[in-house]
This record gives sequence, C-alpha cells and structure tokens, in this order.
Amino acid sequence: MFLCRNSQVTHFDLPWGKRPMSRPVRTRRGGPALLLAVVLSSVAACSSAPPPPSALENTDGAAPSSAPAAGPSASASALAVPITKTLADGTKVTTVVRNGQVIVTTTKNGKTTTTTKSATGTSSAPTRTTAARSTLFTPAEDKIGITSNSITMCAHAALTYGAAFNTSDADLNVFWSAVNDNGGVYGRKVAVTYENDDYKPTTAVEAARKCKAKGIFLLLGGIGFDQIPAVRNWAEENRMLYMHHTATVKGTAGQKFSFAPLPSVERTGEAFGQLYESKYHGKKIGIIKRDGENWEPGVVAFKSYIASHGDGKMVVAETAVPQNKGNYTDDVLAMKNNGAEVVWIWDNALDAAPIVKQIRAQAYNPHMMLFPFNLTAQTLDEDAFNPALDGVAMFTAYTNGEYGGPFASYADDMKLFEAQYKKYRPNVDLAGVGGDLLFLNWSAQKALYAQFLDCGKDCTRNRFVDMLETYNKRPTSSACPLDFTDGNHRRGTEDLVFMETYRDARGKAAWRNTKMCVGRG
Amino acid sequence: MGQVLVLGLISGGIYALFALGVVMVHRGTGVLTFANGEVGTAGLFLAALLVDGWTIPVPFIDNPTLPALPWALGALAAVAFAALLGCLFEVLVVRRMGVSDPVAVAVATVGLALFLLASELQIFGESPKELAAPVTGGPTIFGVIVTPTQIAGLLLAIALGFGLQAVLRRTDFGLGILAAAQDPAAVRLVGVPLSRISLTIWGAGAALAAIAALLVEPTVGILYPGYASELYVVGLAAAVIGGLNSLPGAVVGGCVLGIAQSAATRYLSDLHLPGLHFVVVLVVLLVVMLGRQLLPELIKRMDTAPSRAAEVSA
Repeated sequence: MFLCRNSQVTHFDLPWGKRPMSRPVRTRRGGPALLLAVVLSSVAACSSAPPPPSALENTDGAAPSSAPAAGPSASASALAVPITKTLADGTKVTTVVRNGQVIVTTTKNGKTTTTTKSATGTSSAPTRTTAARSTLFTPAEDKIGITSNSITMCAHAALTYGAAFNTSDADLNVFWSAVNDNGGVYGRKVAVTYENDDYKPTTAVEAARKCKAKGIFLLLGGIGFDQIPAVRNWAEENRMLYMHHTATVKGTAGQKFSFAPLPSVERTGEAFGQLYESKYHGKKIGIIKRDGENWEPGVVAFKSYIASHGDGKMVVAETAVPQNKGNYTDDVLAMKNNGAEVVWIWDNALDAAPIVKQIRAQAYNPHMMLFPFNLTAQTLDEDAFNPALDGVAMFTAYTNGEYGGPFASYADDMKLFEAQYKKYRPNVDLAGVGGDLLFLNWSAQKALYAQFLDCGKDCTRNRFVDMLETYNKRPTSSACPLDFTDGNHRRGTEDLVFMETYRDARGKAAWRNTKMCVGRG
Repeated sequence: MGQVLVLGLISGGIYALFALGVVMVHRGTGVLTFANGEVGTAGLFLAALLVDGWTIPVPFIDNPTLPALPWALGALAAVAFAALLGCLFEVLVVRRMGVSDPVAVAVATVGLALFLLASELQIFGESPKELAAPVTGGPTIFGVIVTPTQIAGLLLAIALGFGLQAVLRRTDFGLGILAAAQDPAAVRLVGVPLSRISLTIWGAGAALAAIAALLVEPTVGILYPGYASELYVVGLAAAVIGGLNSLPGAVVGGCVLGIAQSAATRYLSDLHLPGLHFVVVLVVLLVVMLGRQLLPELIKRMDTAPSRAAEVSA
C-alpha cells in the first residue's frame, strides 16, 4: 500500500577542511528558531544536494580548493565541492578536488577504484545563455537579493518557541557557515536572517514585511499551520518568492510566488490515515485535534482516507482543543468513555506532551499517533512507551550518534551534520530535545544549497523558479524525493515518514523511522 | 452526568484557585491583575528547581547542582518567592504610581507578566519540565481518576474562598483592607497603614497564584513558561462571573465554568463548533452578566406588581 519512491540519489559532498572557524552569517541574535529550521527543512527537502560521509573523510587539513573540478556535476565542480552520486545500479561515484587534482572514487559491489587527474581545463558551473523561461519577475525584480558575491535570504519563524528546543538562530546557520567557509555558492556568500513571527499570523506577515525590506532573494517560512497561509497571500500580493513549510492547499488556487517542498496539511492528515490503516485497521479511534480552520483540513483528509478503507465509522470520539489548553482531562475521558483504542493527537509538540501524560494519568493506554519530535519523547520519557507512540513526520528521525538500522540510509548526512556542529557550534547539545530539529533544518539547508547549485552561476529569481518547476530529484539522503514537475507548487513531495518511540543508546526516549518516504500509494 | 460534574469540578477547582488571587487583589486595590498566572509559574519553576535538584544556569559557575529537597519545602519556597515577587512589584511599581487609575496599574501587571515570561524563557528555556506530584494515585469517581492534588485544589479553593472572606469581614485588618479599597484617603486619615495593607494584598495575591500553580501542575503534567496562561484567562472569567469582589463568588464562578466546559465537551463535541471552548466561557459570562443586570429589575417589577394590582382594585 505504501509506495516509497526510489529515485536516483545524488549527493554533493562538502569537504570542509580545517579552516579557521568563521562566524555564522546571521543578523539577529537571541531568539531561538526551531521552526525556522523546519521551514528550511521544507525548503531543503525540495532541493537536491546533501553532503555525504565522504566529506568527513577529507580531513587531511587541506583548505578546500577553489579550483574548478571535473565530476559528475558541473555545478559542484565549479565550486570545488566534492560530489557523491549514487547511480541507479548502486554504483557510488565520489569526486573530490584536492591540490588541483580531481580524485574520482567509484564503489561498486564493495569494490573501490580511485582515479586522479589534473583539474586543469575541467568544466565550470553551468552558464546559461538562454533567457529564463519564467517571467514571474520583472527585470528589476529578477536580481533582488543576489549579487556576484552574495545571496541573502530571510525566514519568518516562531523564534519565541525555539527556546522550547534549546536552539537559537545562531545554531541554525551552521550549514551556511560551512558553505561560506568553503567558497560559498559560486563564490557568493549566503546570508540568512530570521524574523520572529511569534507563531501568529499577523505577526508573521509583519515579519515577512521586515524580511522583504532587507532586499532578499527568497523568503523562507517556518513551521506554522496558521502563519503560512497569511504570509502566502501576502507574498502573492507583494511578488515575493516564498518557500514554506507544511500548510494547507486550501486557498492556494492560482498562486504563483510560493512553493511548498513538504507535504501539505491535507496530505499529512491522510498519511496519519495510512498509518492507522496499516497498523490499526478496524480499531476504534478518537481524535483530539487543534481547534482551527488551518488544522481542520488534515482531519477531513484523515477521515476521508479511513472511510475509503471501510473505517469511516471507527471514529468514536472527536474533541477540538485550543492551543495551550492545559487541562485535557475531559477530552481524554471523551476518548476513554467511547472506547477509543487508538487516539490521534493532531496538535503541536508542546501541547501533545501534556495530552499524553493526562491520558496515562487516567490509567488509559490506547495506541497514540502524533507528530514525532524528540522534545515530546524526552519530555514524556516513560509515558512514551507501553505501548510505544506512533508518529508521522515530514522529515526523517534523528538520534545523535546512531547510524545503523533505521538511520543507515542517511547516516552520511548525520555524520556530516555532527561534524559541522562539532566545528562551528560545539556547545550545542545534539542529543538533547532540539537535536532532531537542527538536523531537519540542516538537511533542508543542504537541499536548498543544492538547488542554488542547480540554478547555476547566473542564477536569478526567474531562473530559480525555472529550476524548481523542473525539479525531480532526491535532494539528500535524509530527505524524500521531490517532484515539482507536475506544475503544482504545493506538492514538492507527498512522502512522509512513519516513526515510533524507542530507547536510544543513551537510554533516552526518542523516535526512529519505521517506514521511509511513504507516498500516497 | 456524574462524570461531567467530577470533570467540571476538577477544572473548576483550577479556575477557582486562579480566580481567588484575582479577586483578592481587586477587592483590596481595585486593580485587575494579569500577572498572577506568570507569578505562579515563576514560583513553580523555583519549586521544580529545588525539588528535582536541577543544575542552576548561573554564568561563570560550573554547573552547580542543588540537592533535591522534599516537595513540601519546595512548595513553601515557591509560595514565599511568589509573595516576595508580589511585594516587590507593589514597592517598586504600584507604590510609585501613586494614585494612578487602577487601569494604569493593570497595564503595569501585563508588563510584569511579560517580564517574568521573558525571564523564565531566558533562564530555563521553554523545554517542558516536570515537577513530580507530592502524592500519586487517587480514587476513581464516576470513572474519572481524581488525584489527591485535584481534590486538595478544590477543597483549598473552597476553604480559601470562604476563609478569606471571613477574615476580610471579621478582622480589623480585613476591614481595613476593604475600607482602603473604597476610600484610601479616609483610611489614611484615620491612621490605617495604607502601604502595609497594599503590600499585604499584592503579596497574598501572588502567594495564592503560586498555590494554584503548585496544585495545577500535577494535572497538566508538565510546566513551561506561559503554561498557565490559558487556565489563568479562564480564571479571570471565573472571577468576573463571581462578581470580581466576592471570594466565594470566584469559587462558584470557577466551578460553573468548569462544569459548563465539561458538559460542552461531552454533549456538544459532535456539532464540531469551532471555538467551542471559548464560546462556552463567553456564553456563561453573558448569561451571568445579563442575569445580574436583569434580575434586580425583574425582582423590582415583581415587587411592584402586587401593589399596582392593589391600587387598581382600590
């Protein structure tokens, strides 16, 4: 039933050497920005280029070369950025430039061969001579935020809530710090700044205005079912290129300026339906949902999906709760009284924890489905088990230092992520409640980086739109395949990841993948 | 129905505890305080720090870890700390505002709430924390497991509501408080120490907020900055329903709101009305306010109706 798309995997390895650490590019200080990470992750998810473990092997101390390099990707070679490309037959080709030499390592069936040749005369970044197909932006707007030596972006995110995950905006720019220290994107340094949207729609629009005033190339939108639709409308009226996290499809007809790499609210609700059908078909289910018009479409999609599988009458209870309600005992009892064997908690990470605790406090042990954040799992600890919780996420799980089993397919990303944080933000606790979100953010940024590479040396906003509208790749090993080629900006991917709670090697409650990249099937 | 009552009283006890602090301050000063939710949360953080032996986030000191104290000691410290916060606010802000309009002081309490919220975020982060309940278990009533802290919360709300009311009405100090709220100038002229009264009220209101937070946390299960905001807002509504000046009224108001919400969850959820949780609060408020306005008029008409009839017949 669940289809996991297997597309070609392409990696762009960033060989961060042992250069002096430079300050992350950022403008705001103080506010944590967890959501931002998620925003970026969404963006990343839709792009195409994560750095694999080979980058970590490049520890000979040599500064990253700025010489052009030959390799599987012309754009990457132009940056002297090593690339790992996994071909359809499983052959892994890694290209690294060191000391003017192009080193190509090919691994097939466990056998590795290495060839070296001079970098002289190799190709450079793709240089387009034809005009961009897109005419979305006028010539005056086309190059806003991008110069020969810089790309500026800005994100609106609930910085207020970043503290919940012990993250700050400085923690979020590690990837770009590494990129900038290694030559940037075709020589352009990337600067990402953040504006607090306070998790409120009106403040989010104000944050978007502040971002636009900075003359940015691209506006990014962090987690926020309620904020994104407001900013999306604003972006359309203000002709702002906007990449955002999960939001409803509802209300987007005809919109051209925004892109959503991650699955929509509706699709996410449907994926919870898929999880229910795959594990709990025929069992009575209760729903504790956030009371809000931007949350409801997910519930509608969920119910529609399970109804199509003959379980329409299995929803025995449904209560709507406001944000931060605090005491959910009456909602819990509504589930318990109606004999719900499964409870779907359609609410955010902060509110999900007390709901689960109050369910356990009533000596009630249903199966529970919710958004899988390590924050929730670590807060719940013992309450996250017996039975284990189920989760559906737009991203892959992250547990610090675990690279096997459910993490194996993207361990390269995890290792590079950890290496970069060790170098640039050594005090960040990646095993703590915010580690998974930082990884998600990092993965998203890596994907966005790849998209900028694909956009080319002469990238403009219209060319960026061209690139997105023809994008059909798996951006990183830790992301699901993205495909915008059907012309739908709201459907970068429809794949989600199923997860469950487990005890990690440190004994902490955490999440691990049970099914990767579950499509509509 | 029994379950609705039990669930309603659990919620009602929570709302009542917050409402008592609101009424206490309003009755003594005429000021509607918006800070008590966060004052209570600040006290709760201190209790959690002491009871769980947290590592203190102090700069320049290498992870000093406090020894874990019993819950009761942590709770006492929390109440004392909250009272101190209330007193400091009175001395540093309220007193300096002199004879300002109570609305201006109310706005200042919003400032206090934001300051405390920001401080909690800065010091502790927003990651949810847990303060282990002093006792666990509890009886099952109409299918609801009621914890000892929930029972204590309701009983304490009732005891404080009526007890404080008696103190205010039957002691010189209490009468001084009531008089000070009605006519501060006259009270000062007859030699009542107005500043001490004001200090006591703000301190007591804050202490009540800490007690409420301590008893509510085991029900919610976790604490984090701002976690009591929603509960406190409903507590404010409960205080208004009770008449803002009546401590027993605050308890009744809390219970009425709790039961109304519980009944709505039970019987109206299937209607899928957006905002049901708040609609219930609004409807109860409207009914009570209208009732309070219309009832005296109705009684008056009923009283005058027989005399008119008598006049007509005569």
